Amino acid sequence: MKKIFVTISTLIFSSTLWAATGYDIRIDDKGYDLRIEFEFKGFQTLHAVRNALIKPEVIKNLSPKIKSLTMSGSPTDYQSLMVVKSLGVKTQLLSKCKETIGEKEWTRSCKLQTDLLDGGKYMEWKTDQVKCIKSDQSVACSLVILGKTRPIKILGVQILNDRSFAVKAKVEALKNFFKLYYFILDYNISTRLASADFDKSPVKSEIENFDKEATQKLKDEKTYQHSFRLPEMK
Amino acid sequence: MRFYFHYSFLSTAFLLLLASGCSKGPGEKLFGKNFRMEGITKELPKLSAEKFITSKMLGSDYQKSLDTLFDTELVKVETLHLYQNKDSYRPLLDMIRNTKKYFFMNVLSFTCDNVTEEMVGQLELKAKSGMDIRLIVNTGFSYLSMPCLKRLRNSGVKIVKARTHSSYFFNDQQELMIGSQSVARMFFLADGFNSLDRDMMIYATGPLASDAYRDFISIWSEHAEKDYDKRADLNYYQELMKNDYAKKNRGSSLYTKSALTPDRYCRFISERPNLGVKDIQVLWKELVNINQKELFFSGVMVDIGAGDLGHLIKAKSNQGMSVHYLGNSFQSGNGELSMVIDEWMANIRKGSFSFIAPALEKFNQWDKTRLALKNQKLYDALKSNASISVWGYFNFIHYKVWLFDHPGFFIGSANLDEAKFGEISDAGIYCMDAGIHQELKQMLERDKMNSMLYQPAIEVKK
Repeated sequence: MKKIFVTISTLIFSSTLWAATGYDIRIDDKGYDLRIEFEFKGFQTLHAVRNALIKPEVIKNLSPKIKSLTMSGSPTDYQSLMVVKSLGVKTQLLSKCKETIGEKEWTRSCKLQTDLLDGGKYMEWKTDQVKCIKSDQSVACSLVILGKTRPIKILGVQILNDRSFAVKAKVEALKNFFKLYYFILDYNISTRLASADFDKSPVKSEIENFDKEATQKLKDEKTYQHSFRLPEMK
Repeated sequence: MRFYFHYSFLSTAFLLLLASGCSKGPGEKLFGKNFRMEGITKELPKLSAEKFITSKMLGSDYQKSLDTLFDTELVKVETLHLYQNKDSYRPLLDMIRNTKKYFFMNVLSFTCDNVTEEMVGQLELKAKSGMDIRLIVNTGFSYLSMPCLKRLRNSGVKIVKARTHSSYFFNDQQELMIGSQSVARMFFLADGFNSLDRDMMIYATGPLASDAYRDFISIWSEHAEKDYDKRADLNYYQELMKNDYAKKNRGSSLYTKSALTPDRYCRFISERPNLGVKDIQVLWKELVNINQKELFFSGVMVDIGAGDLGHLIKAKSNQGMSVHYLGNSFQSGNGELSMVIDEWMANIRKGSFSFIAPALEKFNQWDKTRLALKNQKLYDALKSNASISVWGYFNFIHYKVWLFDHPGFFIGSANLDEAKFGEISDAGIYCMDAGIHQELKQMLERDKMNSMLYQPAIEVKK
């Protein structure tokens, strides 16, 4: 079932028509499916976009919960170890990643190692894929993050079911990715300003609304779906 | 003339004796003393003309592969001019005079003194007339020139303090001056032989200034006051980029043929550690890797630590690549600190407190010895298991130049210092230009002739 889910999603991913900046999310019993689209119509280069999306220092600056991010291996085939600290709990997440770096296209796919470190405690499985394409007018990126969370239990008592936990986790992911979006939009000049831009943006309040609405609806319903697009900037 | 020396405790002691026997006062104009070191080679050596080979770095595919590593692109440069020591001062003043909208500076230190007064006056004039004059200065060094910075601020110059080690200046006329000089008399009085900073700057016009602009506003925006509005800066940057692309001076339009034509090409390269930009290290590794014949690099100090770059340079030297490092010797002293102490001593000797001079002299000697011993360890580490020639200049080497196989070179502010990488921001340019390459080679060869070849200490059995 998981394989079919991933395969279908990958097929959809590879044939995605680039949309304006925004995201689509679906959470159900099978897991979550988050798709984010970014489009940069300025003078951003493909490799500057890649640098922003992979540099541990940038990611750490934008997300205070990420305590460290280290990569080992070759530039195109590596392991990424992310240490996250949330509510006083430290979690070590190890992923295997592969990249293809071309003149006009960059792709990266990562798979969480659920059998190593803390990955399996919170996730049944997780993959994420990024594809950025440079055209004459713009750099467009599509991110597909798929996975299935486990319920959160403390001393054997379930405090969050798997779907509610998926909402919380994806809210964090959306915040981080949209801060990165503003960082790239400003030509990678400042994480400080990118965070400030995000805080003032309509995306932030939209993500907060998504958090409230999804948490509420998933109490009674098994499926939740949501989409958002940023208004076109002039 | 060449000196060969053993940089051991014994030789240090010997040099101390030697040094104490001669006057070490720096620049005559500044210190009123004549320091003459017999046998200095001032003429540039004649070098056999190098053929313009189609080296790998001129290949479009190679440059495309570099594009994947950096935020910046290869650009075509209109003018490129190398300035030695004090010769950079007048062109810098001209750059300020040419400014119509903005003049930005990113330096380690900025000092108001009798030599920089004209520059300070020009900056004040421009700022008072409403032009956008900005200065990024190293936080630590800013405490040494607080009255000067206050004076600039009062005239309208905007100042931000950051962990910078960069040295560049640019204006709205697309003029850029970059290298390793700070704004202080030690740089603008130096001739390379008068015990002041031996330095170089390179002047360029064209799209490199756009890349410098982005680097500058990146550091600026990370450290500016909360009310800083980035919009105007970003809009201006976009305008600059638009013009560069329209003129086909940057990016893929330069790669229409398999090899670049023998024009002037450069790439702005910087280190912005807080954003994970460590492009200077990456660039050096890439270029050392493809370099075949000769590598010449210089700096205030060299600490290869356990980094990949040091290993790579050593490996290449063992594979037959000729590798020379030009750095500082005992006589070079501790840069500006030694120069300031020399200056104090010269002034004190003239007045009623001349009795303090011997104490200062002793401190200076102690500091020089301390530094020489530190360098000894670093040079030993660089030379160990490698065929690298290390040269110690008789004045204070401050320039950071990397000369690769013809026609590639790098000029900037970064030392090969593994301990500092990732801590401070630095900047430089990597260029391919036959004329400047030849000029640099002559300069480096001459400086090598005025240096001592470092030899590891020989253990003496008791």
